[in-house]
Amino acid sequence: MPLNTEWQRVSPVATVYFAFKSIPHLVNLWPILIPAFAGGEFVQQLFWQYGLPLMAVLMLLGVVLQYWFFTFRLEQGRINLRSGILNRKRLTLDFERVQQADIAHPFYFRPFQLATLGLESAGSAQQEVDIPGIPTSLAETLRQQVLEFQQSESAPSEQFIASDEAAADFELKLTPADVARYGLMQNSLLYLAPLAAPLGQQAGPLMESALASIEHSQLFHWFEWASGNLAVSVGLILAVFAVLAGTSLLFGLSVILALVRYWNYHLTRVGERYQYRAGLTTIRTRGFKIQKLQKVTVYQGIIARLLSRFTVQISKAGGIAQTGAVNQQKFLIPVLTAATLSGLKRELALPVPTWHSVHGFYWVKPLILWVPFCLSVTAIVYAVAGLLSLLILLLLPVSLWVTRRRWRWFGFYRDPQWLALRSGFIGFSEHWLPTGKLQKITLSQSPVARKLRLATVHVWSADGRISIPCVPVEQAHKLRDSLLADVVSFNSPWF
Amino acid sequence: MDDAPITTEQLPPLQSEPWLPIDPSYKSVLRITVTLNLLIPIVGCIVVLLLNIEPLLLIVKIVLALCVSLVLVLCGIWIPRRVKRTEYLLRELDVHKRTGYWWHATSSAGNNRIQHIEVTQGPLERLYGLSKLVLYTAGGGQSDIKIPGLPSETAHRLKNYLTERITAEESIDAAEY
Repeated sequence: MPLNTEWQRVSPVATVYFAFKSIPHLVNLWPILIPAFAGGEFVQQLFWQYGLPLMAVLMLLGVVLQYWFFTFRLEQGRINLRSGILNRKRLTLDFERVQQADIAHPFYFRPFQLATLGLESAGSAQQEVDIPGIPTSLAETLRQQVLEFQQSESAPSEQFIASDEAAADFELKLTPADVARYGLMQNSLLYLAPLAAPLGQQAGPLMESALASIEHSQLFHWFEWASGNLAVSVGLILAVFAVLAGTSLLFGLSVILALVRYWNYHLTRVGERYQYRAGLTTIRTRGFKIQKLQKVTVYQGIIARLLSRFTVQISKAGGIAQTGAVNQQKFLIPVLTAATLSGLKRELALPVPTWHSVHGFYWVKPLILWVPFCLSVTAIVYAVAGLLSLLILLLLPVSLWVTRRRWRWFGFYRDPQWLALRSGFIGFSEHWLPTGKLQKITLSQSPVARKLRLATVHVWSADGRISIPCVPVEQAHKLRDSLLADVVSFNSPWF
Repeated sequence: MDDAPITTEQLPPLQSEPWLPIDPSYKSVLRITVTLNLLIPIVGCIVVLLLNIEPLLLIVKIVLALCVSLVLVLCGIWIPRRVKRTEYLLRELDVHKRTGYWWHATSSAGNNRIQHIEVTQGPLERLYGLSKLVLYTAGGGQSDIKIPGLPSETAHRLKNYLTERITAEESIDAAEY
């Protein structure tokens, strides 16, 4: 399909996209609310009668102008963008620099066969560019071009596009049940559990009134029985109930979010290109070429372990600039069983590792401060509470068990292509870095480590750092030298 | 450059390499920087002492003593040793820096991973004719290699040398791919 190389505007439907995008900026207008609420009656009246409608009109005008000033032009191997109303911005993005290309189909674009093309570029100031409201076919063509660009600088073959999903070399589909599991697998929700009580308490007043009306129901009997027989107050039971209700609510929300984001997840590999397609309200197609890979992370949290599932995240250059919400740009395979995980690892050419342990000082180190601290606290409490304080000493065998277990789980692995690090306690995480693409290697030694002839090896990839502490110094030197040899002899394009 | 693996002759162990020291006058730059940084609390303490603000006197005396001893320890013990231990090494294929008196650290990067190179000079460094060579890689903020205390002329020479090497390597790679 010959591409239009003139400056063009996106579809007017894209105004909806710009409107959604400008909503977060409304927060900046909060000072306007001060006179509205703190001002006198007259000021308030003015605000509601004229201020608010004026703001709405201004916002609408802003959205229309944003749409009007947003233009793009296609050239061989690059795309030019012009945007901004007062701050005019002109951006040229070489396809060669693109790390990841997404196509999103938000619900408001779907009836018009439009899509948003998202391009993410490499560089220390990593940039993301969205081109909203272009025809789906154009978005697909551009994405294919971007992903194919390094392989051959000519336009992509139509045949490649056609064969995209039909002749995938590898594919993985997730069922809704699996995606729902991913919603449950969020460890962070467990940490939120204590904070979930207020959420549960929102249901509390409702529940209490309901309880009052069903005073003779079985549920109330149960509360009464529990408070009577277990010698705990109804208040405590209600508090536990509130925490449980809040936590369930959080997990429920998380499952819904997972379903919205990863519904119908379909991962495919065609040649060197991976892509996944998923989503409920917005169907997103995200792809990257294997040569862009900078790090593979395999992890399993405590809940995932109970469900016997794993998550894999594949990062490309620029990941360090990604924080918070932007973190969602990562290429994620949310749920894998042991079998599908080993299949994917084979696909990515990750070997089966034999983990090397680090020196035992790794588990001793945290105890050096912890043990004296526990003993001193015990001594202080003993003076106040007597023998009861000895209970604190029970922490010592527990912490010994924890640090020993963490040490046993901690290990690294090196083969000609990869450097891997595993850490864990109940769950685990594995980081795999292609050694040829490492950015910087640092060997550091604290005074104590020097005495013990140990060193820490820090390794920077284009997606963050991993550190291997407590490595015998000779081994650390050898590791550093061999990694450097891999780096300097890796002459293929690395991002 | 061919694709043959790099041998130990091409990349011998780092310890036995001829590391180069940085300029000793960098000690003065560090001494002035440390003193200037601690001057603000010291002056604050002296003002309180002069004004004789009763309830604060003891704390202020302790803080003052701590600050002054910190300046003395840093300027007298730490800085000379740190500067003496800061060395760099530029080889055909990679670049290294080692530093630290109590905490030792050796950083290394392949020339083929350097994104861009910068020579910076603060006002104090300008006073002593020194510059800092900063080599940026794509690993984010902490993955740069900074070699401070280089005579400005050396810093610029190294920058040109590395830039030439990187450009040469890139053109070889481009020809291969």
